[in-house]
Amino acid sequence: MLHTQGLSYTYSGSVTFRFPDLICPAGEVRLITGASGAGKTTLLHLVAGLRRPDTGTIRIGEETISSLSDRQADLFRGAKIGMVFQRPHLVGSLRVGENLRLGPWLTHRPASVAAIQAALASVGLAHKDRAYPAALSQGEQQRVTIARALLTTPALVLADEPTASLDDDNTEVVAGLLARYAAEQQAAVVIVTHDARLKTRFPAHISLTAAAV
Amino acid sequence: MNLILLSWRNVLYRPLEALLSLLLISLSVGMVSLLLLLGRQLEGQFLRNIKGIDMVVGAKGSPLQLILSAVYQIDNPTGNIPKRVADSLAVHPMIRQAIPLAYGDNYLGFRIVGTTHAYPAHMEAAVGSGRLWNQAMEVTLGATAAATLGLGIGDTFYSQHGLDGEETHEAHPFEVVGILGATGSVVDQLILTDVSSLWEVHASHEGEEDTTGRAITALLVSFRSPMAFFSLPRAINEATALQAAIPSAEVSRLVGQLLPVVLNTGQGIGLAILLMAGVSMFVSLYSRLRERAPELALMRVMGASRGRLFWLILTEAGWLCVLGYLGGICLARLGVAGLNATVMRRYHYALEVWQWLPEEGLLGLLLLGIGFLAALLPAMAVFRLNISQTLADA
Repeated sequence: MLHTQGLSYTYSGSVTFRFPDLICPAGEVRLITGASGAGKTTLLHLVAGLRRPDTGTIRIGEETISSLSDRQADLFRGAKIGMVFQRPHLVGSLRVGENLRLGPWLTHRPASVAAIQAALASVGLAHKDRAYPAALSQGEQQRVTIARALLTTPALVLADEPTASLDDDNTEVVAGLLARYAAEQQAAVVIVTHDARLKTRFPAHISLTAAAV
Repeated sequence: MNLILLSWRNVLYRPLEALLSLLLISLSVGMVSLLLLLGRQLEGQFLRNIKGIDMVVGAKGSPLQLILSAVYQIDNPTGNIPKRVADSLAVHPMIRQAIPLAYGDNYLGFRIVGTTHAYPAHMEAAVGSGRLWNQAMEVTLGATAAATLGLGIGDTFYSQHGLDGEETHEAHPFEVVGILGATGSVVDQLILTDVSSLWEVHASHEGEEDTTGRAITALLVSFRSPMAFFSLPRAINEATALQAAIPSAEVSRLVGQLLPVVLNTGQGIGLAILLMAGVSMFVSLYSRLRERAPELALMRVMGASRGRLFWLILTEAGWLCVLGYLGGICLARLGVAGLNATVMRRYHYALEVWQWLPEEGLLGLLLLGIGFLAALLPAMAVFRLNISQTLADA
């Protein structure tokens, strides 16, 4: 499903990261682990098309996204990739339900009310549909962002430290949601983490070492 | 979900900042628009009333005061002139028509003007109902005076001494015999009667006046030929105890010099507030950028193009401009209505409240331009937004 080859990335001419190849078959969860500054988030953003690699290729399904234009990459990401971040970024002026509707609208594929309700129900927050993000706890907000990421049934889910600011219970919920999604939708899930709780649950991982200068 | 709605929600998300910008925009638009309305209408009123009056003759004093009192019915007269002097002047060969005006009384603030039928004819005031006065103590009311006073044909009333006095002349009732149609000129605000009515009211009151001492207040004169402008006013001013004033000269001094200064100063202040409104919009949009950066980056991650977010921010400023503009236009109308209720009633003027000026359209375009400039820089930041870094740092 996801296959990267020979990726490298240089930050403004000083630090160069060379990444081991990352392969994640459909239906599986892969962790990217490593010390701070090893380039975990950089690798994830390369895969998401948010940065362009200096060398190497990224293939997602049949698409080589490292060769897409910016706009094509935006649209591909909107349609095929779901992203979850360490901090639950939600649009503060919109209700929970509207936050979920926003993504599909941005890619010109409006989601049905039923689909949004189902996505919220799958994270146990169907009753928070009309609440504003500020009224939700950190754990609830993170579950909303996962519902949002999974709403469009993306083939690839990229999560950056999704459990770093969550307690054990919420961590278990989030890990369960991602694992179940990978299995049910035959999607590839890549999680960047240094969270030991996730490492025990998902043994398959690649480990990054500190950058070569 | 659409751009208009999303931007509206973003405006509401920071209600105080939005309110500040809205207030500034409304205030500036309201101020400029109010002054536009006032300027336009005062100018119209001034020009409408002056029509066909080449010269005003009255007692010595300020020429502007003479014009204001005799033509516009706002200031006090400069004094009275003996009727026989006025009569002898009226037959001057250069004068086509001389309409006498006699002041002295009012009824509940509306001036009672003694004159001849030539006055309503000159002001193009047709009789709406009833008839014009034919003898002393009969009055024909201007349309606004009749409506405000609630008087109808056959009603009688007692006048009060002076132009705003309250001392009632109980012995001499006036009788309403007719009501004029609305003209939009000062006639609407007057109570017209025969010149002799005022002599009758005051004869018993003061007692000392005889027929030789009868006086009027002013003559509205129209010339046979424009040549008279060069000789007659000067002759009157230098050789007689009367004063001749040229309305067009006095009004152009007032409207042409004083009024624009007042209006332009006010509009200048209004436009300065408009600029401040623009700065306020800019500051609130720009200062929110840092806070919103993750939100904007997130929308990019979810597939939003840069152009979409660019328009989102412009539309937020657009909301403030549109709402502020509507608020300002309404404020200006409220202001005109308020002026009608207070100041203008004293001067017996009524301004048109629901009038739309093309200049206000221009004002709207100017506002949109300012809003666009205010939002441009914050919106441009969308193109420089580093999604990866913004989301990794946050």
